[in-house]
Formats: sequence, C-alpha cells, structure tokens
Amino acid sequence: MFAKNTLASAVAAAIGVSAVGVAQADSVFFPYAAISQTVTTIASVINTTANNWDQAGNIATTHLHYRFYYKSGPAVNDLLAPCEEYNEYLPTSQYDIQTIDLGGIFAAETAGVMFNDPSINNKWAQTGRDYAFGRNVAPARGYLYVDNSDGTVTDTLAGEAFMFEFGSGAAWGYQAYNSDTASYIPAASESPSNVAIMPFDEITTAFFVTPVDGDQAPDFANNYRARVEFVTSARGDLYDRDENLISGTIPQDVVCVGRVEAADMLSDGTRARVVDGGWARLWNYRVVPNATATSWVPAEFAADNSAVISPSADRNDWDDGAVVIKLEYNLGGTLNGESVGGVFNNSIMFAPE
Amino acid sequence: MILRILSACGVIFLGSLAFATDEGAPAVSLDPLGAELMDANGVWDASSDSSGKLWLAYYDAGRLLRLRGPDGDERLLVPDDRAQAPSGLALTGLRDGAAVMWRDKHPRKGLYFLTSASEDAKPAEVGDDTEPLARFVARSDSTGDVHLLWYGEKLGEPTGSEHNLYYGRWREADPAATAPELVMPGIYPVMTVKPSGDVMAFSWQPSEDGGRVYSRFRPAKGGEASGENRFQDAVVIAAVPQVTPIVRAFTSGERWLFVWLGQYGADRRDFRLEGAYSDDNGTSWTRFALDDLRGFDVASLQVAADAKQHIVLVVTARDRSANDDSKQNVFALHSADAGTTWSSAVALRRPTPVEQEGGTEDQDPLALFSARNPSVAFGATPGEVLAVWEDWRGIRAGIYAAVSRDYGKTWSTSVSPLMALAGANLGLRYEPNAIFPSDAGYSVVAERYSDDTLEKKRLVRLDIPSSRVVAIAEGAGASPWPGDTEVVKQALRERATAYWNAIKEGEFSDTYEYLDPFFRARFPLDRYLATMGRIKYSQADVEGVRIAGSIAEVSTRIRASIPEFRMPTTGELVSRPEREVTVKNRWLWIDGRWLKEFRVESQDVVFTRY
Repeated sequence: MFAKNTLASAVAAAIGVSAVGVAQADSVFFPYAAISQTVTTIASVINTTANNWDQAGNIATTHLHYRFYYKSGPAVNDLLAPCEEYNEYLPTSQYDIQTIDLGGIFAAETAGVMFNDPSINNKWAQTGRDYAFGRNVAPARGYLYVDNSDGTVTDTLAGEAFMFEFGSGAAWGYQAYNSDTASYIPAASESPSNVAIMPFDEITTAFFVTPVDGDQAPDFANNYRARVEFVTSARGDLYDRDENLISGTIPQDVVCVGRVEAADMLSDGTRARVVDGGWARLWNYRVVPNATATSWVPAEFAADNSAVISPSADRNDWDDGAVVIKLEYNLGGTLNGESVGGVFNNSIMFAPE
Repeated sequence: MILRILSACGVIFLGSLAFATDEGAPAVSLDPLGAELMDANGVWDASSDSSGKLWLAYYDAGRLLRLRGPDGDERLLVPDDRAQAPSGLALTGLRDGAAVMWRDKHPRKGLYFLTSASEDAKPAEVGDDTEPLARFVARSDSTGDVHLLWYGEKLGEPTGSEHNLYYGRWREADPAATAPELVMPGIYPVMTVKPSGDVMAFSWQPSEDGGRVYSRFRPAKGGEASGENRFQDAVVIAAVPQVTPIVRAFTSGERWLFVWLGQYGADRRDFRLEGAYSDDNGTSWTRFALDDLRGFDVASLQVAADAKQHIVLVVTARDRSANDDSKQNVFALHSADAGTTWSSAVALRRPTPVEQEGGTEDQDPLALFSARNPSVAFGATPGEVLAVWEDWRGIRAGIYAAVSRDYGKTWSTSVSPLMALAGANLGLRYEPNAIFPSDAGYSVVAERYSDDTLEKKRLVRLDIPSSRVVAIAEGAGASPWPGDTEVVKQALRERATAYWNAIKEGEFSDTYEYLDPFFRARFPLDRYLATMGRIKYSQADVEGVRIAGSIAEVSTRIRASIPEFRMPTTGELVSRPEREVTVKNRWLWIDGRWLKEFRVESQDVVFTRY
C-alpha cells in the first residue's frame, strides 16, 4: 500500500501533473473522511466530461486523478500530525458516477466500488486496482481530492459523501466542493460563524477541521495548519443559555485534518460553568510561524496570488482558513434528559462566506 | 441505624447514617440536607450564620428555588406552579439567619433579595433597570448590612460597555436596598467585604493593547449623608491578556487579596495562577505569581484565611501546557504572611508506592483517576486545616480528605474515602466552599448521585468528628484498590475467562452483568441484547493482565467470525470469515469485584467518569 502510494506520487510529480501544474483542471474536494473498524466513508464522484487523464497522468479520456490525504494509526488523534498522500489514476468515463467505500468495509470484493456498477464504460474492474484508499490504513481520517483535465468554465466534477457508523446505523453526509482550480480557499467556512453548543454531559460536540489552501493537493503530504477558536467578544468568550458571557477559551490548531472536541476549546473552569452549552462565534483561519519562528500567528492570503500566505497582525474575518464541520452525537440514549431509544449523529458543514 | 427505601428515583435515606470506612476508624455520619432531588448540575449555596447554624438554598429538579433552615424546614422561594424562570443564586449568613438572592422574571424581570427573617416571604427587587444577569454575589458585614454586586447588560451606560458590574446594599435597619451604583465594566462580580463594611470590587477588562485587572474601593465610613462612602476611582492592578472564570477575592487581616487564572500566549495555554494584594485600600497593589502551577488549567479554587495571616488555597488543576490529555488533580498552596510569600504547590493525594499498586516509575496510578473540587477550612484547633475533595480513584466518586496541623505547610492524606457506601457516588461541586468547621469537627455539604446515570443528585451533610480528623492525620485507612498481587491477577483472569465463555455461548444476559454499572444504568438489558450476537466467537484465551490501581488491562486472544447478515439500514449483506486477533479490554475494580468497562469503539465513548 505505502510503496504504491509513494511510487504513484513520485510518478505524478515527475511528469508534472500535480494540481499546481494543471491549473485548468476541474476538481472536487471532499473535506472530511473517516475510516475505522466500525466507521467508513462512502464517496460518490460524478464526472460529466471526457476531458480526463490516462493512467500515466497524460491528458486523455479514461481516468480521474484521486488523491487521498490521511493520517492514520496513532496520528489519527494528533491534531498537528501532517498527512500522507495516496495518489492514483483510476478509470472513469463521461457521465459516470462511481460510489466508493473508502474503507473497503462494504464492496470488499469489488475494490470498494459499490452498487453493482458495471465495468463497461468506466472499466474499473479491468484495472485490478483498489478504490478503497483507506482499506489498509484504518483507523484513519483525511480528505479526498479528485481532478480531471477539463479546462472549460463548466463544472464537470461533483461529489457527495456520507459517514456511516455501521455499528449503530448512525450516518451523516455533505456535498463536496468543486472548483476550476486547485484552490479551495473559497470553500473555507465563514469565519466567524455563530455556532450552537449542546449540553456537554449529554451530547458530544466535535469539529472536523480541514485547512484550505491555494493548492489543496500538495505533493506527497499536507502540513497546512489552521486554528479554530471561540471568540465572541473581546473577552475571548462565549454565551451560556442564560445570556451570561463567560471567558476562558482555548484555540486549537489543526494540521491537514483533525477532530477537535468543543470541550477542549474551553478552560476547565469555563467548561464546568457552561454544562448546558450555549453559543459562540467560531473563528477559523490559517496560521504560519511568526518572524522568529517561535509561535504560530494568524495568516492572510495574498489578494493577487492565493498560493502566497503571510503573517498577519491579527485574525481577520476575510481570511477564512478551514472547512469546519460540526458533529453532535449523544452518549447515553437521551436528549434533554428524555429517552430517545438509541443514538443520534448530526452534522452541519458551516458554509463559506 | 440504617433505614433505606428503594424508590424509582434511587435510594432515599431516612435518618442519619454512620459509617466507618475501615476497621477502627471513627465514624463519619451522613444526613440528608435537601428534601428534593436536583439535576446533577443543579446550583446550590450554603452559608453559616453568626451562631454557626447552616443555611442552604438550592434549585430542585424542577428548577424551583428552595431555602432550608438549620432546623431542616424548607420553603419555596418562588411560586410552585411554574418552573424554568429563576436562575442564579447567592446566599450569605446574617447575624441571625440568612439572605438569598436570585434573578427572576416574576412578578417582573429583576434581581430579587430575601432574608429568612422576612415574615411575608415577599422578596425585594434590587436590580432596578440594570438588566441583571444570573451572576451575582452577596456578602454581609458586622453591622448586618448585606453588600450586593451583580452583572448587568443595560445599554447606554457611560462606560461604553454592554456588560457592567453594579453594586447595591441591603440595609438591615430600614430594611431596604440602596439604589444600584454602576461600578465598572465586567462580567464577573468579584467582591470582598470587611466586617467594617469596607468593600473592594474587582474586574478584568479587555483593551486594545491587552486586558487589565482593576479594583475599586468603597469605604464604609461616613454613610450616605456624608457622601464619603462612594466607590473611589478604579485602580489598575495588573496587565493580564485574558482571564478564565477563576477569579477570587478575600482578605487576610487588614490586607485585600485578589487571585485570578490568567491566560497568556497566542495559544492561551500559558495558564498562570497569580494575584495581588494591597495594604492601602487598593491605592497600590503588589503582584505575585504561583509559578508551580504555571501551565496548569484551574477548574476550581477555594480559600481559607484566618486573622493571623495564614492562607490556604486549594485548587483543581491539570497541566494543559502541551495537550488536553491529563486528568485533574487537587493541590494546596499556603502562605504564613498574608500572601507576601507562598509555598510550593502540594498535591493533596498521597503518591502511591509503585511496587504495590501496579504503577511505573514514570506514572503513579493516581494519575489515571480524576480528583476535583476541593474545599478547605481552618479548624478549631490552632494550625489545623482540613481539605476534602471528590476523588474517582475507586471508579465511583468518593470524598477524600487531607489534614494539616501546621496551617497547610505539610499534609497527611487519607488513602480511603471518608465514607465507603457500596454502590454510591458522593461528590462535591466546584463552588461554594463546602466545608464548615464546628467545635465537634467539620461538616461537609456533599452531593450524592441518585443512581449510576449520574443525572440526579441529592444534597447530604457529612459530619466528620474530630477523632476522625486525628485518624486521617495519623494515616489510618485502607486503599480502595485491590493490589497488584498474583492472587488478584488470577482472580481477574478467571473472571475475564468466565465473561468470554458466556460470550462464546451467547449468554448475553450473563455478560451484561459483567459490564460496568455506569453503562448498565444508561443502557438497559433489552437494548444491549439487541446489539449482541452478530459476531460468533469460537475461542477466547485470556493471555495477559496488567493492573494499575483499580484499572486492569486484559489481553485476550480470540477467534471470531461474522456470519452473513443483511444490514437493516442499507440492505447490504455483510459477513466476515473467521480470524484470530488479540483484543485488549479494560476491567475495573468496582464495589469489590472486577467489571468490564463498556466502550463504544466507533465513538471512543465510555460511560464511566473517572
């Protein structure tokens, strides 16, 4: 798995078909995927053009370029671990849809390709290749990036994803972002966004954070770093359910992709005093080392070149830096203290500005 | 005498209970305090009047506010035909009785104040047009007056802030409250009052170049007619970029002190517990830092200060300078010179002998279990200090204690809970300071959870006789841990083997009984049975056992397969061939037996709280 990954990346880099080199490509960006023994991610990729690649990355009609950036094993819960890259050209055809179980939990005998997809126009079966990019790296979390060679102004790639916890049947999903370039800065969630926070003892609230960049598909790895934090007024704070401001929030930095517990964004004294939750302004922005490389400070993207990022004096509400998805799920079969007879799992992807 | 009635709500205790936690140790007694159940996070406050009688106010599970007098009589402070309206609570002892303060919408939105002496039980509205929020304090002085400070959101104030602190005074002689005085911007009403009636209010305020901590002094002298007893100009105490809600003011003799938890650095993880004192009524302040706890996030802070310059601080804290993984612990710091100098921070829990309890040189097993919400008080004996806290080393919550005989310089710590109640969870709240000294010893207001869902609680009073305090000081008591002996390990192997045998046989009603009680309280048997049986186990061999405190990691080599079944949600056919794997499960020593901790693997969720 890892050998093929590295080789594919090296080949792609050598022949210059990374996203940076193919500025005219269309792409689709699935900002979050999770894989474990009981969780998987089902991704559907819809391709409406014949302007694609071949298996070597040359302009052709037959292949899409899949890149899965992930952190696995002990790094799964390390917010600051960089991602690794799985890089592969896989068959497609115009007007094709391919639904893939990235974890290979389902469709294990069909290379992760689901729902009786005939290998006729899109000759996926003949390749003998695996679409379940996360099959051998679980547990893992990451994001998926797919591109073709279409240079028209028409959006030719689209996607949807849903996370499936097949132990309980809980699921949630989202629509993937698409672009005419490799830049997904416009996909960043609006910063700040007002977010509701549920009672901590009954419902777990977590944020999936994926930093965005002018090049969302860097070669070999991804170490883009972004920060999320609650800052509702100048006091670094949030509101409880009785309109009381309370201070004591803690920023959390994420490299590539990460899951941040809302409780970890509060000091312990704050957490103890907002047991019923409340609301806050959630900021997200890229961070870069300061001039002396002694700390990470807010960054801003250059207006004329999104690939250029530099330190800023403060966080800005126009430099949104990450896709943020809020997940809420219950712990013990209750909601508002009343039995709900099972688990629930809700997600909200905060929209771009 | 023990008299119990089992009810749907849990276990109700009638009458006093007295328990000895280990052979020979003097008994601690437990009495019910509040008559009504409360939500687990329900707010309460307690205070002694000048004769040492304990008053209590609390919100019941229906969010109705109740006042309990020393004789045990309770009365509702709001009409009983409504709920969800009152919020916030402050209680202070008076010369004879107590005063209560809360925010309410009835009969109109405002801040309400009532003394226990009020015969018609009709509260006075004291907040006027300040748009009070549910955060306020009440402090009485030696004249019987009560000083009030609250947080309001009235717009258009000259401070330019939406969030301000207001002051009022309840005059016992009238009795009536003074008109509200705008004090300064702020969200935390922090105030301390001397017996003379002198007042010092504090606030943290953000600014363009970083935040600052301010004080304002209000002298008692003169009276309203003279115009002298007004707040003097605000004084900057220190530049502090951010503070958490951990802000506390107190006096030691004639000295004013203010302690706060500051947050420094871009990541705000450079937590600094620091403070300042003033000997000139706030004209100037001398700053100090308690650097032993730098980087430690503080969740609670309580103070004991006597008139002879002795101060003891007890805190819940954990190191979050690098990550959020460590458990909370309890620490004490003391000063013998009214806060001019401070001791090192001392962990109140006694380190465990490594060889006895399965620890390693790198980690004391105690670090695996949370301890939090300490309270502290000086005793009747000079130099004696008692600290109590909520400790989860026994997987259930219990109250532990430490005693100092030298004003907090050195401590002796119990290794057993003050009361060993099988199947019970006894805890403490982060505020108020819940320990009250008496001639006979100490009383502690504790929270007893109704059951293992930990959703409801009832307030209880623990009375700790002086003889028990002596026993703690002498190191009496036995650890709740089973030990790391071969006999214990073998017993665990046998229990784990029995569990896996039941799993192989599909006897899931039996395996349910092996699971931790916190899971079983939330997940009834029928729901558990509905989730079991997909995986077929053909072999399970317990291979390894490692014990640390009341936690054990058990390694089991299993052979298992998933016979074909159709997913109810998708219709997908799922199956897995038999394979052999080693699984590691956590077992817990609870109520004198080993139980398997239930973990929702996909969400990494457990139901235990330790």
